[in-house]
Amino acid sequence: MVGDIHVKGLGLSFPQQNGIHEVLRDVDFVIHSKEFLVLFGPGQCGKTVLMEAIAGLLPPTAGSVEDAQGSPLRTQELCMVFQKYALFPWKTCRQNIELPMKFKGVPKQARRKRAADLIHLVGLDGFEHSYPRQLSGGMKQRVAIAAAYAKECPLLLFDEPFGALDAQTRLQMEQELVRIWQQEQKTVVLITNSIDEALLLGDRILVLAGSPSSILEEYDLREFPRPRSLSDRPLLNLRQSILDRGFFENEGGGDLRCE
Amino acid sequence: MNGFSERAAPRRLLRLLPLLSLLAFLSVWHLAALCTDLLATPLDTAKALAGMLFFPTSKVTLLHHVWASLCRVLAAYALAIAAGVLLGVLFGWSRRFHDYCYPIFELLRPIPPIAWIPLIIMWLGIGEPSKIAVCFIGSVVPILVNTYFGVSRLDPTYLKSAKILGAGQRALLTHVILPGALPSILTGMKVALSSGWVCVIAAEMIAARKGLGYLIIRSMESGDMVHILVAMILIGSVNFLFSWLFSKLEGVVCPW
Ligand SMILES: Nc1ncnc2c1ncn2[C@@H]1O[C@H](COP(=O)(O)OP(=O)(O)OP(=O)(O)O)[C@@H](O)[C@H]1O
Ligand SMILES: [Mg+2]
Repeated sequence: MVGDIHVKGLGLSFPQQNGIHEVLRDVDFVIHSKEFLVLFGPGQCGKTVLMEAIAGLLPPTAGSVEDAQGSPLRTQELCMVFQKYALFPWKTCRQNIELPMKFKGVPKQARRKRAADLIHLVGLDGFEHSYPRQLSGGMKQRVAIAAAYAKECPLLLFDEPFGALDAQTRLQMEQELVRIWQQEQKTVVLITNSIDEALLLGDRILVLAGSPSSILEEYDLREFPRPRSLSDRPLLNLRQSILDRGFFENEGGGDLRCE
Repeated sequence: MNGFSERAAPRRLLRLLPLLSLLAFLSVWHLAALCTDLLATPLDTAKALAGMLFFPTSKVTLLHHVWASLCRVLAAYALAIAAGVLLGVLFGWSRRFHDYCYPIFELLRPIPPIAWIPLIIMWLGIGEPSKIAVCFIGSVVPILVNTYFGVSRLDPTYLKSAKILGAGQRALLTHVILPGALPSILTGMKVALSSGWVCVIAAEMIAARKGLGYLIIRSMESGDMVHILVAMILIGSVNFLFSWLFSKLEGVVCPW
């Protein structure tokens, strides 16, 4: 089992025609066990790169990602939901959800049962046998989330999972995610470029920005009770103070939610 | 209501159109046959076809000739699928294997399968294996090329996603790479079936005792117009049937 996860002095660069493109430098933070951590940053600041480095998909150029015992994270202990819905188009909704269990060697009976529960959990009853192309964007993302839950791992990484959804569905999915996170006792790391989403969901918010990017600020929201509403005075004040810091200055500033 | 029936009438007409064009084609053929002696009439051809179904030409009946060609094509096809998919996946999967072996393949590819016939006959004689080998060369190339492109063009997100979900190498192959490349593989298989069929006819025209290619070349040697036409019609029909069956199959194995 993973406890706290330490991201230590992480640096990541890509080779380019003229020299190297340094995306991350000296990224340092801790992911506490069972917390809901939000990584917040402007577009192209390296959020996806950072998450893929945590997931072990991109080898860091410097630094490391370690569990509480100081050893690297193992793929079995985590799951990642990608920014682009990475469902397999050749598998039905149920087959997509069963896949991680199949890879683990869970027997068929148990797989079916768990998949049915998860389909119910994400509200897709009746769509078991639909292929991804037959589902809407929001439904596809729910399948991807259900597949991540099916893996039964303590750490869940979400890369802007709701970026492509309409406001209504998005709100509903956000609430669903919080409910599932509370119910299943997981550690969740969620990337967003929406300050509202960050404020509504996070136990803590880490701001990733700069060039090369690093963690510029940390906000602790554990004292804000859930469910949260953006009309709460203290939350609004915090929102304003984050906006005033101007992390988005090169993008015209402000919330990206309405883009 | 009125609008509906107004639109329904031309649609029924549209459905008859292929039939009408076929009829026009047959009439032109018939007229040409009557006016010149370059063609046998469609009716004579049809009669000959019916006769050949029951009475042997060159020791066997027409269906035996079709069957002989079919067996060669399908045997070669099975081998070509196995080899083409295997090599195509390897080329797409392993950078190193691709770099070492793809140039050789690129070198051999432009040689038309039919140009291999003399060499193959010298190697394998004029029995069944040589005909199967020519068809194999004709079929394996499109399957290999399409499999390779299918695998190499697979979105890397799928590979990442599979890795994150815990797939081992084998699971990656069976659950991600093969199904991901399947539409492309099927396209290759479709082309390969047609190309294999072309090759078998060519191979049989050079060395065979039965088969449609043999039938057409033997009829030419004896100046037998109707039999040439019968063979041509059958060669076309079988190829058409292949394509039709294949388009049905695609929907079944690739429902997404
Ligand atoms: N494989 C790669 N090779 C080269 N450069 C890369 C690669 N992956 C990402 N980058 C670069 O790293 C930078 C950060 O990309 P990343 O996708 O992490 O941004 P992001 O913060 O997730 O942006 P968005 O909000 O649009 O998702 C970009 O400038 C991108 O061009
Ligand atoms: Mg991203």
